Amino acid sequence: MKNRYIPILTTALLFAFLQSVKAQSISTEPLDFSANEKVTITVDVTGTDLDGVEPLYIWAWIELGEDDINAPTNGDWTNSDEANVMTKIEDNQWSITFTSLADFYQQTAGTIGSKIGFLIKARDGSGGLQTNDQTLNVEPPKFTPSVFRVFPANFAQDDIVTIFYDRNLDENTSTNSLTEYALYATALLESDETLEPVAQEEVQNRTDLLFKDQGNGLFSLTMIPAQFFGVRSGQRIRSTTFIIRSKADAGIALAPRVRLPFQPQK
Amino acid sequence: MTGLLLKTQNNMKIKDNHWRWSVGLFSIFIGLVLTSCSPDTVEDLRSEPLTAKPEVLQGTWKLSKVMQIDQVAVDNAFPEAVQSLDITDLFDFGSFELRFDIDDSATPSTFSTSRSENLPVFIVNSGQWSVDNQIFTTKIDLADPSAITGTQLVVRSITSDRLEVRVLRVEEGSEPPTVFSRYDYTFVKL
Repeated sequence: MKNRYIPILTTALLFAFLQSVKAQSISTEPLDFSANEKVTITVDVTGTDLDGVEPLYIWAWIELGEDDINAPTNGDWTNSDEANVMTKIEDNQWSITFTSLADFYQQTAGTIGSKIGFLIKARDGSGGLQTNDQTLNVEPPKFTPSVFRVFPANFAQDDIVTIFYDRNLDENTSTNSLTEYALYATALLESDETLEPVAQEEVQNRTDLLFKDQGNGLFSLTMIPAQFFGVRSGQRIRSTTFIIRSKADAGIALAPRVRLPFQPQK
Repeated sequence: MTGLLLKTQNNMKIKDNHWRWSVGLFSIFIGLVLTSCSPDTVEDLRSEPLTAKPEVLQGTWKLSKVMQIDQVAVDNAFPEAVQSLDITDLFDFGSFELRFDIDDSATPSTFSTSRSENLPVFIVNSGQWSVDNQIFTTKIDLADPSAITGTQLVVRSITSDRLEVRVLRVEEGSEPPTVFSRYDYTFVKL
């Protein structure tokens, strides 16, 4: 009795093997990535229905069960959006790079979650010129503690902004051994005018530019950029440059950090 | 015959026991229900959701706590320590007062604020106020004729002596609107 099933099983296994050989291969660079990181997806369609088809497009979505969110640049199934066209590396090898999945999907990392789905297709996918659905795991966003941190990460010129300096993470022995830290800052306006509220040589005389010691090696300074830089009504800051330095010696300082304020909705 | 009699008696005993158990369990159930429905709880359930919020909001509120929230950190599920910052003590927020007035029909009318100079509270100065729902209020709109636009306070909690609202900071021109940070304001009634 059992022998009767052997040919059937063998055929099924062979069929599965052939299907796997025919399936496209997929790789990502980097191997693991979060929704906020740059990622490149590379696909080899040799031996699939897309073998020799050009150009190829990605059709992508966020895997959320029944409430999947399609990428806003998918276009129509019969006419893919050019934003999703892939780059040909060599025959049958195609790739596409996303600055970040958050940008590509126009969703936050929290919404993107842990899995995305996609398939590769011809511009017109109606003739079955497509791969099977594929999924990729997305790593949780990473918070990397840093020597210099601005809170909140995005701010407008009239927001309350706190600059943090974490001495524990500073490997520069000339700055991590100081006891008093001060801020030197400039702002570039949209009119190309540069504002320097306090000159480098004057910083040492200003107690309001001193960082507050929060304990455990953490220092902070809070400001409202528009007030701090003396921005006049109607002026807009294009960028800010912050330098954390020794109170007494401008020559002992961290590298300048540039931040671009947002414009709030009026 | 004797056997039948014995069987009937046993059945009666069993039924009698069932009856006693049922009465006992029912008594315990009634006791639990009566204990859980103390007068305070019943009062809370009856009064809280049905109070017209403009009447609760009328009067002067003093700012007592300000939390700043980094929406990027929240969206990315970063550690809680970097998601929010208590900035209450960094500015003279205690000087900020918000007054709501209502008219004779208990409808929102005017509002006004007072604050120390340059205090960074994202609430317009004075004008007309309105709510999205008189009872189940989720938004309070403040319209100031002298400002380009008003302020929308997203209600987190309203009680007779405490008001918690949220102001969202939205990036200009973003579509859909992108919230980049927010401020959570807690007021106490004066």
